[in-house]
Amino acid sequence: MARPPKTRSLTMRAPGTRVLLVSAMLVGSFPAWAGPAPVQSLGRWYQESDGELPSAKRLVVRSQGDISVARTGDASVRYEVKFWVRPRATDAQLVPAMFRDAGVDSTYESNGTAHLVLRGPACTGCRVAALLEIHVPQGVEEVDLQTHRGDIRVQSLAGTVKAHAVGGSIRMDSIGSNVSAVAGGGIVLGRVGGSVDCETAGGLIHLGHAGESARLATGVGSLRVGSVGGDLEARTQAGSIDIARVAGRASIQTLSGSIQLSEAGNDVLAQVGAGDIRIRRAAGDLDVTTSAGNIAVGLADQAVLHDSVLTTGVGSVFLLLPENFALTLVASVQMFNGRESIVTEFPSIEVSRSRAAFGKAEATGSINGGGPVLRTRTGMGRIEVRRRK
Amino acid sequence: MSGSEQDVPLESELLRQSIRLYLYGELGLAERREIERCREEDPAFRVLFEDEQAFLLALGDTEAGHDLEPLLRECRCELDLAIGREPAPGRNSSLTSRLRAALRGLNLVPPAQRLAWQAAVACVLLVSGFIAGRETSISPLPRADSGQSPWPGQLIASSDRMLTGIETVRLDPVGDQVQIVLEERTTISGNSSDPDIRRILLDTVQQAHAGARLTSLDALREHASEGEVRTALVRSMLDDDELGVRLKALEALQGHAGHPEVRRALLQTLLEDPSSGMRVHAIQLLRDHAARDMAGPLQELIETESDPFVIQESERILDSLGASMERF
Repeated sequence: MARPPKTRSLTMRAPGTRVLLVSAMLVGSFPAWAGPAPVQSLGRWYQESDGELPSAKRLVVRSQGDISVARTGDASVRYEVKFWVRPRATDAQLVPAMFRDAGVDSTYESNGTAHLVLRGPACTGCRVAALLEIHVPQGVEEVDLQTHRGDIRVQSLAGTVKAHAVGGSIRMDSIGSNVSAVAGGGIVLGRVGGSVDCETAGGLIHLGHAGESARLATGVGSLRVGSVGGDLEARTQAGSIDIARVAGRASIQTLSGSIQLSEAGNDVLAQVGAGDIRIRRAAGDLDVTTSAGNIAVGLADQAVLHDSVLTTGVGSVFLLLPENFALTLVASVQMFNGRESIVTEFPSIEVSRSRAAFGKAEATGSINGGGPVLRTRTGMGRIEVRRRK
Repeated sequence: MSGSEQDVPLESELLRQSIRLYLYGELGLAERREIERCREEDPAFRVLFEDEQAFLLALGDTEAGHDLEPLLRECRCELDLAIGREPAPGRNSSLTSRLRAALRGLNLVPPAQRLAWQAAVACVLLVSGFIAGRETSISPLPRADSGQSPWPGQLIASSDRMLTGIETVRLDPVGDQVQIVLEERTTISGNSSDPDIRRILLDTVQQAHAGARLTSLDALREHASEGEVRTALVRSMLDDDELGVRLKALEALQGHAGHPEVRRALLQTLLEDPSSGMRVHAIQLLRDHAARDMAGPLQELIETESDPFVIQESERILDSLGASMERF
């Protein structure tokens, strides 16, 4: 879409503004603001304007369109708002009225909280798009954003970010502190210094890095996580979960989809309705369950295990142990249909099989002198216990 | 009679019996496909096939079906005796490879010798799966230090077939007859681009349990540009009962949303899938491939859709198409 000519006009920044703004902090609010006359371009009506506020500790934004927030070197909060309207042909003469009250209401509270509330053009039956671009100084400690009809983008903020895009997606990167994000669509987070708490009704969630704990939940969609410095809770009803590294405890759940976790620094609870579970290096306790799918788990050399469980209803279990890892294994195949239903490289493990067809196979024994009990069970499938060399 | 002279009629009868088993629906998937391939490619085999088919049709369906079970039971009783008498063939020779070998000698079979071998061949064929399993080497499990990945799902090029689960063994001491009822397990490994593996994966995405369907879709997603794979993925996305499988299929089609077949299917998902999450994913893929023909369905969708994201994206697409939000 070709961008219409920019019409820079009404702004809060005027000679003596600072005095007015300081007064306004005490008074409590600014009057409603209205933009310049809209211009027509390529079948759309367009209006653009901007404004400025003194720096605030906390910034609250409520919008009906896209919101974009980024850090600036300036000492004040600056914003630009853009509206696009495509009215019905019969409503062309109503356009000036549509834009009459469009703009941003700003309020400043004495506790250092600034509010920006966007009021879009009044137009029934036509498409209204809005973009509110905000530049905030480094000192802003918290940004609270909410939009009912648009996406949220946040880039390079030192403080905390709360974002709620009811019908849109959220994208953030380089956030110094905690992030809370709720969206109707996907959520993509790059690097977050603090904790992450995000939830979407239906969409993917990507998280590059969280310095502290993370809670990620989506209704339908896949989760992809780079690294989490603390505990991780990841949940989806349908979709795969792919995680590179979790330093703390990991609680991962998908009703339908696979789980892949490369490095788990602590305990892992992984539950799948249908799908495989793969954990390459686990350093803590394991509670791993899938109803229909394979389980493959490798223990890290420095793993500290207490009693653990690997269970699948239909599928195979593959367990890879460090060479000198001490463990007591209790394995069972409820209904085996192969000669090698339980395979182990450790001679100390005794395997017994029912003589009946589709009978039970069990294996028990101590590895390297025995240790914490690892129970593994499959309803129908095969169990392999191997040694990493 | 030399061994090689014996082989020719034996293998010809092997073929005939294979065809009969095929027509009775008694062959496994791989054997059925081999028969079909031979019928397509080899005119001599096709003649043999049509001859057997005509013969069986002449017997009449009812009678053939009625007589089949006792006949099979009788043959199966004899199979152990046949196994005992059979010289051990070379390792790794499968039923399929022996069928191929038999095909090569098809035109050399003297018709008069066929009847003499018919009875023996009937039994031999029935136990061929058993023999194949017994003779085929079982590939060793991958070791952690062998360079082969020990992780399930990463395929290695090998194949093994083994006997499992002997269900019953019945002995008739008077007649020296043994009946064994057993289950056979087959493991097939290979690259997902291998045609045989591909066919099985395509079957699996339709028929297996949800976990296996998901893994099969994962294996197929790299081949979504190929017609039969794409069609299978589309079918899974539209028809599978399991939400995760539909989503996995949609994700596999992500790079092909511009293909007309995929685009149509995505539009159908957007309009009909009961999961709002699926509709969210579908409209995200359609956004980059918007076309004028989507305007009507999207206008209709906006009136009924409950998900705010889907509504917003529909409006954006309509706007980019220069279409109104409402139907007139």
